[in-house]
Amino acid sequence: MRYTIMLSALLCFAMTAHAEQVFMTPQAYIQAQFDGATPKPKVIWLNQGLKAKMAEILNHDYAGLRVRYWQGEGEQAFKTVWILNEIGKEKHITVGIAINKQRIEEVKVLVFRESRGWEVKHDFFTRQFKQLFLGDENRLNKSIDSITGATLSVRAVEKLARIALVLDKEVQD
Amino acid sequence: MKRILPLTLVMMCCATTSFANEDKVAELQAQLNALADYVEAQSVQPSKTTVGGYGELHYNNYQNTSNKIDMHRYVLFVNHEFSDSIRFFSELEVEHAISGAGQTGATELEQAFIQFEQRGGNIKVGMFLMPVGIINETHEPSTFYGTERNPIDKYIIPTTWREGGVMYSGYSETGLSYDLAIHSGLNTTTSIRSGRQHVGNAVADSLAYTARLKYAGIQGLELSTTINYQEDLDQVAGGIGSATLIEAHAVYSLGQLKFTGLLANWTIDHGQNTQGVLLESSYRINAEWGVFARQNTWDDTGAGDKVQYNAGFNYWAHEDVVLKFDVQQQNVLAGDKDGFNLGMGYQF
Repeated sequence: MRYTIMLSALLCFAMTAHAEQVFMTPQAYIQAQFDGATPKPKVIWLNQGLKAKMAEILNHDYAGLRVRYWQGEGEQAFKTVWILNEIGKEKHITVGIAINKQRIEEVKVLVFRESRGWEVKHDFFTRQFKQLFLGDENRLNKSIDSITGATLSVRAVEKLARIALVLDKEVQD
Repeated sequence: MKRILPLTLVMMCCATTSFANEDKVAELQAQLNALADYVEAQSVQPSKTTVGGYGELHYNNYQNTSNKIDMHRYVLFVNHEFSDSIRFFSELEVEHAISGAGQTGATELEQAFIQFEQRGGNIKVGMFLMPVGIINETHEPSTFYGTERNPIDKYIIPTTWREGGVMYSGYSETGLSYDLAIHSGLNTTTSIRSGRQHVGNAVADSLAYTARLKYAGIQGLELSTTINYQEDLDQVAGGIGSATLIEAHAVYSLGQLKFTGLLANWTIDHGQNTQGVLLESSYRINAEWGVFARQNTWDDTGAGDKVQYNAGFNYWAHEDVVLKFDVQQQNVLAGDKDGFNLGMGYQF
């Protein structure tokens, strides 16, 4: 009897299987950052110098030729928004990062696809990034507290925050 | 008038050429972006089959016994994604470098399960790691202090503890998560550790059940408790009967300081109860260096408390490569193995 219950439960679970956890779509995030008005996306092409900086942060080459970003106008001209992906252990984590005057305004985990380490989505974790900026060697000016059992996801989010700051500096300079 | 007309004509020509150039540039930009889209689409997607691994080499120098050097673990992960929601995970390990009849080591399958992803959780079917303690599920050497795994996670929680069965793992927005599992049981009349059947033709006349509740909703804090119930610890009617493990731990990080406490207790119907307590403090000096001190107290035989102290450091040469050193002191019951350990570990 207990094996029948187990198998039935399994079938139910398998039928409703779904992998991605979408906490917020990238489009909705960009819109929210610019008070509902989404600016046209811009593109930064990655030259050798930028690729080298990104590879140093990521510990591997960035698999892309350019990065899209969104920049405000007028009073928001110093604000940029980046939607970036990095693998924690095996799957991409999609993170939205808003930067204003070269300081992080917000980090938000938008889509989580890993099987562990989901704790990085919590505000208590992402709040740590607020107002951080680039320090020496393209590190954050303050260290980020890790989460037990979610080390790889924590690392991925931190790396993306550093990448966004490096790219923001490049487009603002 | 004669002068203005040619000037106007020249300006019109320039304007037309300029518009034509802008169109051309826009067209080229569009083509370039389309080309970049194509190239990036080829390279950005991770492979459906991934390979990873970890390993550790240990050197033990203790009084009253021979010094030893041991390639303790060499582990390979092979995982595959059948679809967005169905994935396979596996972990194959060579322990102590060499396996075979009469050899010191072993080749062991540590995990092999299919995971069905759900909204808010997942279900595992197969051979999986038990959701208990701190080290059992996450035991890559770069994630913990000390060359050797701590004795509470070895003798009381028989790490690496894996069983065959079904497990559902769920979590909520509040930071609470839980695991519920029905799985194969231990089979022992002596120590808990020797009761692991490794899911190899394992006797399954009696099953076992595990539930874990974990809270990680506050920055720096993890609270977790697991209960494991063995219907029949020796899989024989009229033997030592059922057994229950209760484990609880707390990890609190305050900046770079981390405090860990773990308690594990087995209650066995007609056998010897066992228990252990671990207390650890550590400080991460920077990205490369961290220091720690740990006290382990356990009783796995009923003869009294065994005590072991470890203190030392980890040096992360890379975020996934670690060199370790720690000094060790044990009381007589624990084996009186005072000395030091050196270790090298990696994961990828």
